[in-house]
Amino acid sequence: MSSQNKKPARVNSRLRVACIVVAAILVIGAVMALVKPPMSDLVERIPEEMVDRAGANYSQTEYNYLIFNIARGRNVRTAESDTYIGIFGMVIQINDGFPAKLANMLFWLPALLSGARITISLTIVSMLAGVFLSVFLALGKISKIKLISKPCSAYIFFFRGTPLLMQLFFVYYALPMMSTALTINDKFTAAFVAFALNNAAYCAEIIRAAIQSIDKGQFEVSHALGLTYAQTMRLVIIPQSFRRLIPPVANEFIMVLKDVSLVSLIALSDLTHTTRSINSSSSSVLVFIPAMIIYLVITAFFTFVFNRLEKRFSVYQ
Amino acid sequence: MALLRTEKVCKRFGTLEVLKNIDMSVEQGEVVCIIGPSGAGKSTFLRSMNQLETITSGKIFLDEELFLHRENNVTISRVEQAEYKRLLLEMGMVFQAFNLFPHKTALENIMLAPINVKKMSKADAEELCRGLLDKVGLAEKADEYPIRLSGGQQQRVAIARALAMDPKIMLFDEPTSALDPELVGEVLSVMRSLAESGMTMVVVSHEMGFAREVANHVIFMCDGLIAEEGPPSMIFSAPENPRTRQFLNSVL
Ligand SMILES: Nc1ncnc2c1ncn2[C@@H]1O[C@H](COP(=O)(O)OP(=O)(O)OP(=O)(O)O)[C@@H](O)[C@H]1O
Ligand SMILES: [Mg+2]
Repeated sequence: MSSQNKKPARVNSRLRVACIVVAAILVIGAVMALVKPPMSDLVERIPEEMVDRAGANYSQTEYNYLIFNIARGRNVRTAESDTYIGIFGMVIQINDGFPAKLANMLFWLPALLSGARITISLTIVSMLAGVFLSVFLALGKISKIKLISKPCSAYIFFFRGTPLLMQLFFVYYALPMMSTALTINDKFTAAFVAFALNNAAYCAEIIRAAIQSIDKGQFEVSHALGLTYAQTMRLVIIPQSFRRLIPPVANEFIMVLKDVSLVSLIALSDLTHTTRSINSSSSSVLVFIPAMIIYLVITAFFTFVFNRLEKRFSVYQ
Repeated sequence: MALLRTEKVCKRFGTLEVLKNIDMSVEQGEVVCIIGPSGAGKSTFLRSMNQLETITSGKIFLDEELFLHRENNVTISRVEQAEYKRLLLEMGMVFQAFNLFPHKTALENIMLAPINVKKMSKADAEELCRGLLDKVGLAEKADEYPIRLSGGQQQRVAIARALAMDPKIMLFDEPTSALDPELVGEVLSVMRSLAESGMTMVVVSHEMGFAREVANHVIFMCDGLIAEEGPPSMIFSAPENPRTRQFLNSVL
């Protein structure tokens, strides 16, 4: 409450500058979007001989972005290409140099983004499932009942002690051979299962450490007040460990985001797999640049989200 | 009628004998102060009462009902489960380290147990708990998180939280030892008015002034034994045991 009153005037003026900049960008963007030449203008410029319409190698590609459009014809046999960009009412041809390279990257963008979509969704769903499972594993591991704690410890030991890639191969290749009931045909689902199971083991250790870092007095006072073990965990211990959990879970999330690139080895087209196929089909190494930038953007976004979460949960600290 | 009574309570940690045959009896409305040097087993004794420690052997009676009987680390008998839970709640405990729930406001701290253990409705619990906060003089701090309260205020919230379960007997384990000297008074005055309102209390404390003025009965514990006990006038002015005399000389 008090922090709002104490906000220095400097922050307000900086905020105003930021608003002006954003507004200016929006206006420029709107103008550019309105005056850009239609797609057909670009496509018509592509010389007929560039376009190889033979078989599957049809290689006239075009993309329409908000503020410009871009079209390319490519002769697959001679590997020559023509690229046209429509911007500000003009059509510009670029065939070499830096602009051509940039245009190439833009051509790859849609494929890369759809790869990124798989990477992100696989990370999120396997993280959610993993965290959910891990709460039970963590509580199980610290249980005093050996019949519960031993299997949980064994699970954690197994999944942390074997390579993730091996676990992925096991789920995708080995399980179907063992039993048809365990067959997972969909690559995404198979990857999800492997990652969620693996994640659960790592998150369980994080949660166990967070729970055990809570002062023993909290357990004692809960006992004195007559709370059951389940109530103590649910109402007292786990809510307190939330804030302590966020940094290591955020870290784990980012690790998983990058570990997901392993799915390219079962040919699931995530960001890494897509990058690799563009790299081999275009024989250009440039594709790694936008791919890595996309990874960085995703990481930065989730780091921001987790930082906000951490702040939200630290009201009482 | 004794509200709380122990017979030959012993507690061992490994080979360390911390409590040796403690017999104690607390009558309804009585304030018992336990004093003694560090390591005497005072905390362990209090904690054994509400089962934060399990006694090695001995009997504990609550309301003249045999609550727990153990010999050689084996439970001979214990009241059945529902009664066990009910009797446990007859003892409220206040800790040296307050142990407030840091993620709950003062009011939420007090309301948590009545709502979840006694299944009280939210509205009833809030009314009860605001009343208790008022009683410890913190009505206006209801929505503060513990971190924003002084040590003395935190301990008063902790007392209100224990009272919310409507205990018959309150156990205090050095409730003022973690406080700055200028904050001790406010907590002691809450405890004093609690005693005046007729609450049965067992207080482990190094506050000799409080023991002298408020207690009906003072127990001097040393090396796991009750070395001397009696009314405060006797213990403080005419102690018989040389250990008591030595201890009082060192703290007064
Ligand atoms: N969980 C435990 N495990 C092993 N030994 C313990 C444990 N708890 C207490 N003790 C030992 O029991 C003895 C009595 O401890 P206790 O805390 O009851 O003393 P105290 O009279 O409360 O002292 P203080 O005034 O310092 O609080 C001490 O020697 C202590 O080291
Ligand atoms: Mg103690």
